Amino acid sequence: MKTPISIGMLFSSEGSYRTVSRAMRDGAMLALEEVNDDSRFDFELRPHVQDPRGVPAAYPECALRLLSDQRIKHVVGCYTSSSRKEIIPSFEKYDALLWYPSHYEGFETNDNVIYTGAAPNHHVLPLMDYVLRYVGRDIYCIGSNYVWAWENNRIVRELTQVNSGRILGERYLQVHDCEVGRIIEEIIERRPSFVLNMLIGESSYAFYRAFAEAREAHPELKDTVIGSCTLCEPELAEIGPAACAGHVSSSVYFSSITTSANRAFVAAYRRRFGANVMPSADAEASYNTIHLLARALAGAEPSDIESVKANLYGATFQAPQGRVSIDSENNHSFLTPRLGVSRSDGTFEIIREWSEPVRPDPYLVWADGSGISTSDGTGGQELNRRPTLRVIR
Amino acid sequence: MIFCGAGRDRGVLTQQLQRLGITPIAFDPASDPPDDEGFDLAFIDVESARQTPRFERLFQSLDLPVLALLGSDAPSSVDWVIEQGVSGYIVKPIRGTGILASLVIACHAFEESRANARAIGELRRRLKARQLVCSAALRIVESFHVTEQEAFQVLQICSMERRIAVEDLSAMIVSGELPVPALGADVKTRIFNVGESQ
Repeated sequence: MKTPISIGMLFSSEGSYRTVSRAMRDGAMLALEEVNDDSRFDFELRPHVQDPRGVPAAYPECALRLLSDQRIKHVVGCYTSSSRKEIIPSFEKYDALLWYPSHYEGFETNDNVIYTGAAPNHHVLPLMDYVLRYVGRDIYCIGSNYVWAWENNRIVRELTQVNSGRILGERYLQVHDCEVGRIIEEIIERRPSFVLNMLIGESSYAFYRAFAEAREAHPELKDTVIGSCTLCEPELAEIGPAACAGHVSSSVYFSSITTSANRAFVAAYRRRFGANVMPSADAEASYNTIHLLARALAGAEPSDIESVKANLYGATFQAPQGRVSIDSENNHSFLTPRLGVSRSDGTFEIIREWSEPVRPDPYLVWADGSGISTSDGTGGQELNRRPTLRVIR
Repeated sequence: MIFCGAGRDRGVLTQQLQRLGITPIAFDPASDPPDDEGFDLAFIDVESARQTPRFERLFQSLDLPVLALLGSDAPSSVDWVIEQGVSGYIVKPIRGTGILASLVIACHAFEESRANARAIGELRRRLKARQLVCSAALRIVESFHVTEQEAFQVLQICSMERRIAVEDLSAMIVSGELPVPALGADVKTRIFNVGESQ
């Protein structure tokens, strides 16, 4: 008889970013079932699901139901930074752990949060390293009007200026806003070599579709590359095959990774959620989170979060993306950065990947100012090349 | 004035301000910007403010201590706060403790900054007028064959007697409104007095 341990799940099934959030919930549920079937664990994880439906004000209420009413100590959830920040005070008050499985903009470390998604040195720095080296230096930034886009666009502005590039424009839309016409007009007029897309959810899908139409009407846009740190497989399906191909995404996970661990993960995910779906970076992050949580709970008192964290800092998990673990210094994860180019079949061709997990740097204190890694010594000489998006192994 | 969406942070801040005898009036991104400018203090939530351009003009026109409600250490947020020239900040999630200290420090910083701005303005004005004073002194030197030091002392004493600033007297001399020969009697007397005082 396994001992039950209650785990909170806090994901939105509705709202602008529901596609990503549902994938996160699915990844967590799959891992939870695997843990419960695993004879190495003498406990059973029991999910308690709360659904804030994409309403920011509902997150604190949902969190309180889990922490106060049900006295749960471990909650996996949140996608946006604003929702995470809304509920952190409750986790401090009830001395609980929020397991946050989303990439985010960094500049935070909280003792009551385990950050299992990518930090800025895992997503925006690798993307800009590639862009400034192979795509171009005339850059146009767009984003959803909150801290995720503000901060990443700031990083990109600084990297671009240091590398003698130009920011041709910077535009923001509210999270639900799909009126992308003005942005498209400016891109046609200014013809950037690279568009950094920090829009999230439906705004982003509307932009990709409108850009595909604009490219049909304006062939001069054929060399303009769009890059993102969020674009993932379920979103390619949302955007549709006519508009989803040829875009760069910086991510620690793509479903097309060829390791046996990932093949098993993709197969299990499709068995569980449908033969037509593909797991995404967000689904994988949630999946990894539950597996790390299970390893941290083994032999620890679940309600004593310090003992759980002590276990966690010594744990590793052979994840679909490769080995993952937590840095005890900042509660963020060692992850493996990759760049992919989207295909019309809703998957990514991986064009770059790091050979081993990269230590998290949430405050970007170890990054050099240029953002350009010096590993291959090519410097800025190749910056004028147009994007051939070749496979770099 | 509190500009912050309804929720825990606004609740804590409102309650603590009331305890301190301050009457808070809350606005959120859905509100219309207030016409009444009779506020003594402003608390502005950084994320909400950045998302609400309708309030931008109001925030820029505030001539009172402004405290930013800062929910992120991200440099882009911190840069925005610095650009606004606020007098202080409170970190979110807001706790009751520390609000009074932040408030007092912000009011002090605002008053000090305002006094410094006034002093700097006055010094700039005087620096700008320095050229006029020099020109006026040179005219006195040329007209009466006195030393530069004597000319400056004449300007100083004449301005005191006429109860106008040295800079204004100099402007009158340079513009010709007060002809230099009109200072003749004064110059004779002052040189004598200056000589005696030395």
